[in-house]
Amino acid sequence: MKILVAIKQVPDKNARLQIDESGTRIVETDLSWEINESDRYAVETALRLKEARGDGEVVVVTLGPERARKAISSALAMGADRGIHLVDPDFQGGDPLCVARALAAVTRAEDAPLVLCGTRADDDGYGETPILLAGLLDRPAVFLTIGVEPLDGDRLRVVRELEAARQEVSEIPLPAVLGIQSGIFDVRFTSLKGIMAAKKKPVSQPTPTELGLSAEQIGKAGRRLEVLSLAPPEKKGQCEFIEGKPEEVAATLVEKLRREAKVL
Amino acid sequence: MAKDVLVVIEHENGSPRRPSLEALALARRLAASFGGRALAAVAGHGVGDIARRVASSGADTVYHFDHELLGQYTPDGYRLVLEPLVRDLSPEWVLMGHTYLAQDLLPLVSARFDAPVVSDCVDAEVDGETVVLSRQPYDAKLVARIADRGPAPHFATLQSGAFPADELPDAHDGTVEQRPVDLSPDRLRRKVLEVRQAGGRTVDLTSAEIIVAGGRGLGSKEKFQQLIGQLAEALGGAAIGASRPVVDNDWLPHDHQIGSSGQTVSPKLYIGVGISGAIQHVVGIRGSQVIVAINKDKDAPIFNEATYGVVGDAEELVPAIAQAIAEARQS
Ligand SMILES: Cc1cc2nc3c(=O)[nH]c(=O)nc-3n(C[C@H](O)[C@H](O)[C@H](O)COP(=O)(O)OP(=O)(O)OC[C@H]3O[C@@H](n4cnc5c(N)ncnc54)[C@H](O)[C@@H]3O)c2cc1C
Ligand SMILES: Nc1ncnc2c1ncn2[C@@H]1O[C@H](COP(=O)(O)O)[C@@H](O)[C@H]1O
Repeated sequence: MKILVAIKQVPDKNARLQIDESGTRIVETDLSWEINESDRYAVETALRLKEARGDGEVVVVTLGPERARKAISSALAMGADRGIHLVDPDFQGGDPLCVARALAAVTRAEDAPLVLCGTRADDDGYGETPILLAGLLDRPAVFLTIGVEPLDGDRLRVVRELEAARQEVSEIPLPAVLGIQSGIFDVRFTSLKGIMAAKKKPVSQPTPTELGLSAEQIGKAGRRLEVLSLAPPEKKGQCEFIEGKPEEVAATLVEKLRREAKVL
Repeated sequence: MAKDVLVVIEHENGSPRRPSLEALALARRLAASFGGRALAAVAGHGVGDIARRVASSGADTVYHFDHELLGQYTPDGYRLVLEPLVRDLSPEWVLMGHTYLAQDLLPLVSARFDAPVVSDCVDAEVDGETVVLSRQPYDAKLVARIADRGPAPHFATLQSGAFPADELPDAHDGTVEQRPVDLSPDRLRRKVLEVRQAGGRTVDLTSAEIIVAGGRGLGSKEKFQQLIGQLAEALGGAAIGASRPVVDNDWLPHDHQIGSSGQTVSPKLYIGVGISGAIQHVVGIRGSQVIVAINKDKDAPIFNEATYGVVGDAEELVPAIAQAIAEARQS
């Protein structure tokens, strides 16, 4: 079975973010980038499904500028077979629906019965692309997948995370889309051999036209959602900061917890 | 034409869920500004009482869908009743609380209208017919103000607790309108086999008096055990909690997770070390009497929740704090 995995490259978690002069975007220079956390779990899930079946192909797709090529390389080094990079400028700057439209076109072109996404890109944090994609393709989907197991007859058994440590177990038919939640499986380490092998794996760069898309459906020209401003949040709450050398901080904190808060 | 706002109501144990009532409160605000009505949809089986409750809590008309196959939530079942309703009513906005159900469902509906969802919103500026929503990208490190430039319907979900439901009226004379439902089992592609509690919860943090929780910022399993262990011990055996990445990385078993998909705690004292304070974690600790946050980033969102904050490296701070606590407890 062919499995398509959508991965996004996002700034590394500890990045110090700065806003550019437009006041609507972060400054991208000098950031380090990584594959979005839940997307790494999606790649791992795809590799395990392929290994369990003993055949198939894992194709990773990313929509992003030149730098995002590295995310594809990392996924290929983990073991994915092939990459698709939606790098054309017309793809860039869209909202989640634009991304979902592009992914839908790739899914159709690849005729992939299973598409795995992460659950949420930790940069914009919309957490909706896989379900939008399922809506566009009219496929069944499960969001926040924490378990998946192939069954006979092109069906999957899927566990969905619910609030308060509850879970829903269900069966869905293929073709399908899953949003994979962080933690589903332990993600493998990349071997040197994997990194070497990745260099020889193909990465294609289809244009919007090749995928049957017009600029008005994707990217900046196709987006509905406009960011009017992007800024650090206002500080709220009444946190009392305790400052000083570690020993001083410790003494003051203990004093406050005893006398003021009376919790020690 | 007057512009209406539709809320999709979730319910649990015979009552509308709090996030749905919060969405209803915003719907009333928007509707008042547009000169339209606040509408609601309730789907389920045997949920007539809930529909009436929503009508008396502030919805002008509640559309009630009753069917055996709606007794259990499925995305297909809900979409098949909601999509025609939205087409029929042509609301300006469709709102839900940003719950797990909404994330599983609403983009499926919005995609049918060529619309994305403005998800997990924390604020709304309403000026006549213009609505600007605020969300918190980069795990709440930034705030983005968003406008949906597309045609109606627009879709949004609201972060739990961000929009107060207190302002809902005590007695509103909204009406309930029952709508026909045409569903058959073969149209529900997801077959739900079971809803269960995650296996074997051996750690109960819900009744703990003191909780020390660690996050990814501790860097490794060894550091987590060393520093969090030290602090918990100094406190006379405090309970140990964690953020999600900690349990995802197997530094600690899953049943120590605090937050939306883990446990909700309400200790006298919660100490969070190396935890950034993402909303999914924070919803689990808001019942704490006193929150102490230790984080090397002074802008970490956890400090918005904290009573006391210490900015610095856990490796330097925790041993000193543990020692001071141990000494204080002996004196
Ligand atoms: C649907 C869904 C459900 C979720 N459910 C949950 C849930 O139930 N519980 C939960 O916790 N999360 C949950 N999450 C994940 C959540 O969004 C965050 O990603 C997660 O809480 C972040 O964990 P963290 O704070 O430990 O890590 P990070 O966000 O990586 O933060 C690490 C922090 O440590 C600080 N730090 C780094 N080094 C040091 C040092 N040496 N000393 C002191 N501080 C340091 C950093 O400044 C940073 O603030 C969920 C996410 C989704 C999408
Ligand atoms: N630019 C992108 N390229 C590839 N996949 C993406 C992209 N944006 C989002 N996705 C996928 O959709 C998931 C949810 O993203 P979002 O809805 O933006 O939070 C991510 O975890 C990815 O799997």
